[in-house]
Amino acid sequence: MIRHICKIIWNERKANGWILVEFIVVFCILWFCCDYLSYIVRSNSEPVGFDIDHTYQIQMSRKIQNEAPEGKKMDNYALMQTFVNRVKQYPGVESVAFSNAAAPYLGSLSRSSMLSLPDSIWVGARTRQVSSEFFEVFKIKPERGRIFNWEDKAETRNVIVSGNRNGCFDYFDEKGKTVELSKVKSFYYEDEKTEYPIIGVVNPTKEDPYSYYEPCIYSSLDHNEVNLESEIVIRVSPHADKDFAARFTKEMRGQLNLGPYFLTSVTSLQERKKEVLKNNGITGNLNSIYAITSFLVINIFLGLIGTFWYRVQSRRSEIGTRISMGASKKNVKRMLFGETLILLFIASFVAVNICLNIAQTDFLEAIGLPESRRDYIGAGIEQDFINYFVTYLFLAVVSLFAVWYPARQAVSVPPAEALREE
Amino acid sequence: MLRIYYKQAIEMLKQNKFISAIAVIGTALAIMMIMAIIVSDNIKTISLGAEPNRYRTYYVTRAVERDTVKRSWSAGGIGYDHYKNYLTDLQAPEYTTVTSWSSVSVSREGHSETLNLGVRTTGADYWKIYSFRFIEGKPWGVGEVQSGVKQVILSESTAREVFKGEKALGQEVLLNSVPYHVVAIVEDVSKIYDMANSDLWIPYSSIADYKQWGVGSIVYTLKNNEDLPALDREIREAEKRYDAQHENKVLTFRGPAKHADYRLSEQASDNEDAIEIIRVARRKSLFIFLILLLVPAINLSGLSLSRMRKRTEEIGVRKAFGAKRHVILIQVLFENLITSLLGGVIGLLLSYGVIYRMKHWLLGVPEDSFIPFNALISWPVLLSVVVVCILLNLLSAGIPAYRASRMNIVNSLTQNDKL
Repeated sequence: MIRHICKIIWNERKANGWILVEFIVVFCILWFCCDYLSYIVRSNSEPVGFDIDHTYQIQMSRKIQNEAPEGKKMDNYALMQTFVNRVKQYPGVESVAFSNAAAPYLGSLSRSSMLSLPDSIWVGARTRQVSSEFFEVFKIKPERGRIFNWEDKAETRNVIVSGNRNGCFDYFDEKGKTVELSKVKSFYYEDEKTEYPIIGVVNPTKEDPYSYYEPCIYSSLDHNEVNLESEIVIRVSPHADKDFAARFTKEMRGQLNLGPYFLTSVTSLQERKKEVLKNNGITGNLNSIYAITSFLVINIFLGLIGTFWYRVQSRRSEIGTRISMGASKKNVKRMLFGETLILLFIASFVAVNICLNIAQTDFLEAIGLPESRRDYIGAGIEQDFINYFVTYLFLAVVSLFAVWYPARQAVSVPPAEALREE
Repeated sequence: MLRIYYKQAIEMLKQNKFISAIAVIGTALAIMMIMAIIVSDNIKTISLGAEPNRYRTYYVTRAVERDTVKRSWSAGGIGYDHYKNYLTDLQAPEYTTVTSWSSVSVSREGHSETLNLGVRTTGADYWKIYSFRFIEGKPWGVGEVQSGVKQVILSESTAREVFKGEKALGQEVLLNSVPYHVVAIVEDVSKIYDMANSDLWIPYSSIADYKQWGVGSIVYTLKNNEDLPALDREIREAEKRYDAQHENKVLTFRGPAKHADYRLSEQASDNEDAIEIIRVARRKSLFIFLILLLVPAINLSGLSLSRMRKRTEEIGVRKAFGAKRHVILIQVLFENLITSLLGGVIGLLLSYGVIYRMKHWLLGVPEDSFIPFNALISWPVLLSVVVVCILLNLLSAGIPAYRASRMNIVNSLTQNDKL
């Protein structure tokens, strides 16, 4: 059967050539679309480490005009406590956290290199300054040890850490080398003499769903570092989370006029996340991929339906002969479907070779197309197989749909009539 | 002659409705995709409406300062010092101004309601570079900007929202609790004008700490584009002057970038990087255009070849009666052009639908913003749709037409030679 189909394909090589070329081009493009989409799907399926459902950012600003008189310092800590008390009294608010360059999707971050002890290795990590409620607000789970509280800071400089995908720190200057979290006891900053002992380990986190797990060091916010212009995030109980931002702003604006500070906005972090994904191009990339995939699919569909329609018409007598010689309608249909699938298989074979070679080069980067980050999701060679099967299957389904209509037309002609045409 | 071709082409289309429909849909789809990109690109760069001088306007958006001793660097918007001492009073530009955009909470004395709106800070020449329709009042000049008066211009819809039908001109409004005097009302500006649109406008010098905060981006408008090298030279000289006056510092101003590029170049770490980013973006659009043209072209080539195959005899007869090769070639191309143009018109209309539905993605503006009609239909757009049609036609019918014209007369009459 297959040999027979191959012969037919060879005899019709002129028309098949066009389909073959189109299959190859489309297969290549869909391969890379699939590669990128699986990166998106796979990284999305892994937890970010932050639970941002029902969380909000409260933004406060300072009135510039009424500057405090020189010499008289504001007691920021007292202001902060008043703030926390008032916000917590608002129905539905579960916890309030302060932080610097820490909360996800707020756009500020800091990274730093540190000397880790006892092995004296320079490690690089994301550093976050947080109040202890930060872990409650984002439901970050402790894996070992404990979480610090406000009183800790006075005498010690306890820190909490989280690792990368494999629970390790990355070397600062040597790419690829790592050291396990459990082998690090404390840190030194480059230009400081103080030691920062590790008191706990929490779950790993990513900047956003499509980023990588980055080792992180949480240090606690100092009393005199905190002010109402830091990042302020709150968690709200699910049943109170209806129209919360507008309600809170309206009812609390008066109460939150504290000293020189006033409330500017309340934004849900889900909202912020959307903005971030838009700005770093993920949303745009996905839209482009959906657009180009639908475009290619429709094209393949139109191309196949047209070509096979012509072919079936010009081969009516052949099909008539087949049916009158005892081939069932099913057989004829199967033959046409078989032709398509074998054509696709030949094309896929060529296309895979092209794709694997392109992936080796930095062609995609050079023309600015979205690249899948296999290192971010820890994917290996199995991804190539996934890409192949998904693309092949997808194209096969589309092609069979396209050939179905011409095939039905072919077998619906009475054999005698088809033969008479000769 | 062309009329006969035209009639024949229409007959052909009617004869085989199914295949004709497929060819037209295929063409329309390709042209829809290509035109959606071209039209939205055009909207982003066309000199029109509130931004009539885009073609001769250049931006300096960031300053990057490197410390050669500490090996550290800092990047940010243009500082007041940069602007006042180095980037103003250049010879090349006709107008120079600064602008930045941020959000602000707007309220009125004695009213509890507060709105979060967008505010744009401007210099005096801003009102000459961009074109607004003033309903009432007039903008500030150099004197007002120098003295830092607290004046504000509202857009029509902002005035309505804040003052609820009361007369807004001459009233006071609180911006982040600071009172501002309303001096003018302007007609709303579409969000596609990214440097002109805002809810409120204030002089950059009216902000209390503006000398520390910086001034945002600098906007230069040249008399004509031939002055661009001169502008570039002056900016580079300004950098050198700065480096000479500041020990161990190397300053780079990002720009001058034209309107189409300034957003892309904002991500770059230095000016060479900016050029590379723009180059990559060009390559990307070229590649995408290539795909959008090639795939349908392969598709349609296959179809046209099958169609030509049915007409082998006809072509043989025509050739036997003395039709030259180029006549056959032109006829096939012309027939196909009818299909392409038909698809082109449908595609262009569809592309407007696509842009309208997906303006958030394609234009980067909110879903509820309006797009002025004359930004959609303009000469460059109409011209490019014709060019794309002809291109697609050549790509998709070129090979079939060439093959048809090369056919041997005897073979095509006896149907021995297949395409």
